[in-house]
Amino acid sequence: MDPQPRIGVYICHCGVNIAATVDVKAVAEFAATLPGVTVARDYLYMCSDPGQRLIQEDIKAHNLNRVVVASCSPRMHEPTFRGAGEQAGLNPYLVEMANIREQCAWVHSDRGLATDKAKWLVASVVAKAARLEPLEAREVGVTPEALVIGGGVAGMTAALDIAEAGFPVYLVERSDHLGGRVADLNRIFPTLERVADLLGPLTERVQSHPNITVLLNTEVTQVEGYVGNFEVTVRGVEEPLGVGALVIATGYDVFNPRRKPELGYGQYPNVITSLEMEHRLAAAEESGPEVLAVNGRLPKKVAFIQCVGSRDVQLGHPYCSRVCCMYTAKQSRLVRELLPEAEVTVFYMDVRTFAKGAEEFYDEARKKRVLYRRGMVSEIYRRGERVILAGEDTLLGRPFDFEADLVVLAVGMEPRADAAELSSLLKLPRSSDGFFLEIHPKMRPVDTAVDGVFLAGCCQGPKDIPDTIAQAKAAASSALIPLLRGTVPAESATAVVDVEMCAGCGMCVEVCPYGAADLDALWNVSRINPVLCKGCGACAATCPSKAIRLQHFTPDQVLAQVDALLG
Amino acid sequence: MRTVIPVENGDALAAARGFLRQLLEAGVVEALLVPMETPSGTITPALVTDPDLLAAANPFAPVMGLNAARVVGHVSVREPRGKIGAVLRSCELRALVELVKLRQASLDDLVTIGVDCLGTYDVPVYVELHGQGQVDMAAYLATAQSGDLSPVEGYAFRDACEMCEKPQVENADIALELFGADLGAGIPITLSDELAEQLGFAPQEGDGRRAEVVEKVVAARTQVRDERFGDIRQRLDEEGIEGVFAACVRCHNCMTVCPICYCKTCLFKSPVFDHEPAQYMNWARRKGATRLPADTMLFHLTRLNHMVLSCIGCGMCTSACPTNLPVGRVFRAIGQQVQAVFEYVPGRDVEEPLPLVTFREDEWMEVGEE
Amino acid sequence: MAEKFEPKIVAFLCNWCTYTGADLAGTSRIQYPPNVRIIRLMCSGSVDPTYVLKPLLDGVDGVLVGGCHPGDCHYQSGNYKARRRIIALKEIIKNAGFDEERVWLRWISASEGQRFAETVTKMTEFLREKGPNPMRQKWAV
Repeated sequence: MDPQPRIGVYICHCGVNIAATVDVKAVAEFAATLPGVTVARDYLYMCSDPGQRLIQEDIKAHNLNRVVVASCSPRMHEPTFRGAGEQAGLNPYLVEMANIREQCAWVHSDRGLATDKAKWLVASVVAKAARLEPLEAREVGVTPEALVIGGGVAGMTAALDIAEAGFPVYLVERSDHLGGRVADLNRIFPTLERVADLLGPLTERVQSHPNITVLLNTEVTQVEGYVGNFEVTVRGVEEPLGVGALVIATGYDVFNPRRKPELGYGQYPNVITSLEMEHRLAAAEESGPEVLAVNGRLPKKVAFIQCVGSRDVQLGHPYCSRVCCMYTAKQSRLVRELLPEAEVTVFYMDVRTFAKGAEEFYDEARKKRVLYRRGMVSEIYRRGERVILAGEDTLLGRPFDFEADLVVLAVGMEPRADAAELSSLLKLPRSSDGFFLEIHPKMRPVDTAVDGVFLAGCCQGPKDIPDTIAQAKAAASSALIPLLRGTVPAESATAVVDVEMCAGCGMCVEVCPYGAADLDALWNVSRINPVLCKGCGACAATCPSKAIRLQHFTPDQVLAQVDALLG
Repeated sequence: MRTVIPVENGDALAAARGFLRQLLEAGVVEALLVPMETPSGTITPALVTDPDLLAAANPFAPVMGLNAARVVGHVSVREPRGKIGAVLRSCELRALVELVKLRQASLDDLVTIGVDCLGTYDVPVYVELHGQGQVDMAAYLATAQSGDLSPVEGYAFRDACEMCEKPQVENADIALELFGADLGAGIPITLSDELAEQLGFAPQEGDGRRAEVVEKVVAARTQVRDERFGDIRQRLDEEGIEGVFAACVRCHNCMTVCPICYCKTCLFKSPVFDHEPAQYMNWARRKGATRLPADTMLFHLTRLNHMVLSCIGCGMCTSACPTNLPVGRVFRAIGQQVQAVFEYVPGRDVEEPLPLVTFREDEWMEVGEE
Repeated sequence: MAEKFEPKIVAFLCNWCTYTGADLAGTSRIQYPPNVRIIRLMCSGSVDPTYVLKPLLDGVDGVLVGGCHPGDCHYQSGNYKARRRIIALKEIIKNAGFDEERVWLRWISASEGQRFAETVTKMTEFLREKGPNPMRQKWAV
């Protein structure tokens, strides 16, 4: 290792993402003056191929032994730039990032102040970089099995793909049957196929697949370990199940419209949920439209109310449930077919038909004379055998009273009531709406903060069946990566002991959550098992002499970072 | 069992020496770690195996050059080790408890012989008194009976002793209970029945005034302590630690003599604080000037963070300070507050976990959530 | 006064929760004052007392330590250890003549971008009110 740092600093414009707020040229000029910096440049997109090549050419031309990239969050592109450095012969741990996008350009608007902050962030990381030490890449073996939580369409699809790739899968389902929420439906949009015809074969394939173990009527009670080697305790199963990856496909809860008592659900027989309507429509197919009767009469006026429990900030559900517009189009069409005399009206805020074939399906519903009325229903009350929908027509800006025989509430989705339990079991963050949080809403919609744990279906947010299946297949393919590779990268930045300095007090042994530290009986000094160490640094922070250092976050590195922030 | 070591001719020191000799000869221990009078007139702990040399032992010596818990660590920390009896005063016993928790000493094969402490001088003071023939052990030991502990006129006990509110022995295998006793007649001791039998002691009650005298001593000392805590807290409040420790030369003596500071190499002597010359220039420019040696207050504050929960108040730091800084007062005054937060009493019980290596999930739930 | 006082805040954020929460504030474009400068650590449980003391002595106006909410630590219990360590540290510096209110420990999850931004905003305003760290002027430390 060359003791004299020769640092290359690369300031990314990120198109205009950074450059619009931060004077990247000024930051690069400033960086060039910092101790140890050999070359400092700015470039439009550092993560692009030419951007990475720029770094690699500099490493060779200037004999650089450290690289600092000031761009987005290291949680985004650290692997990219470490890889670029490695290709040019630099130890990947000698590449460090300054986060001047998420933690600077995107959160500040004053160009002068943002530029100033970016300079100090770069100075801080350069100071750390000068003290970086190369680390060894390490790999650990993987248990070549997977576990899927949730036996709905998402979970079954993911399990099937993993099983088809040749790996054993446990499919854990809390209820006594597979199929999830979809099993409750009759026909699906936009093809109007019967759910039973689609779900039956899928369930059958899952149940009969030699690589899939279906565990019904049970649940996951404990998860330990890390990507490649999880230990999952399932109630009723004696030994913890060792698996390399997990897919979470726990689905959603249906919004309970009793939380909006003004809509009269549960009070009036005329008011039902869309799910109840689905059941009635299924029954009507079997035994005729009479089952749609309310108070003994076939309804003449049927109303659908959209966005019940969705797009409702007061309820804490600001999101769109993404399926209600389409299932209402489906149900309203079916009602028109079953009851050609009935007038069918849909009260909506906006009609959203983004899925493939959805707009065409919606057009078809309107052609079948389903009436769409833009308006919010604020109250439903009884008048004789019928109910009155009182609301406001939001196109005309006028209040209305609308008489109906049957009202269908298009109830939305919400996070499962037990999502918090699973969240704490897996240390899985949830977004503010309560659904499980993906790492990045655009770029990494299947990955979670926990390596080796992937999301599929509505546990991550409302979606329709094709999107659910697409995500399930994505989750399965992500879960297959460690299983197929057979190894996963282990933490390289582990804690290390300087035995000359260690006094053998054993506090590290007390604070290590992984049993990675123990005392050598002969020499009475601490030893850290690098295979067990996850690099949390609890031991290093506890060790008063710093005989234990957490590599890549050593006291001299961190204190240098602090010092550099002060100018 | 409570019993009494008989004293002949009013010479309690001779009786104590005899008792120690008995421990060796009866095979209770193979060696004794005990303060010894050196030919040059000072006192040092020594590990003694020859019973004849115990003629120079002075378990009551009114001087404290180091906290002997440290050297108990040297002789006990690892196997193989001998069966050793360690004569320790109360603050040394408390330090030993903390060192056992820190695995720097072991109670295995160790017999602790605790001695009520009547107050100690700094080494130079003791040497001076000794030189003038003013160390009168009989007079010193006589103060135990009334609890009117007083130094030789014109001299003072160590600062830590003057404000020591825990001079009485607790948690020793053998306790020499001086307080309240007429030591010219006998030395009351407490020890296990098994040990008593081995040494041929039968139960014998002293005159029972120990509790009363201890209470009196503790009350007086506590008053002094609180006054000094009040003073030092006011100074810390007004001047800050950088004002109180302004004269510090960062010699690390306080750390070197501290029985709790067990690190082989202090972080502050490690390469982490070995700065580049350019760094000093940078600091000098930042504030216009920078104190040298650098990181002086950082050293004290970090040391507080590392050891103050275990500070048992022996005050060796104050004794060792070349610029007479009130190190011990500062550490004890701050330690009292921090220890109270964690309801931690250092030196009380080896089973009591060190506060910073343990936690409860449901404590301080409000912290961090505001 | 020639210039308005702007506090400098050094933040030690755990990689898994608060640092990611700060990233989320970024991707959500939630604006907050530029007074905070972030240092990324793996866990709040790895925050050494020296890391907090050093900037305070150097004259930084505030130190923020951010970690996962209780029960959410990526490393099981690092935040519980951090909690005790920071409580001890604050008690020590308070009694050593420092203003312990300049040190904030906050649990901010990966999904709490808003809370991160609010915390920085509040801390900045709090420190503006409080004024500069007297250590800025003190060279003899």
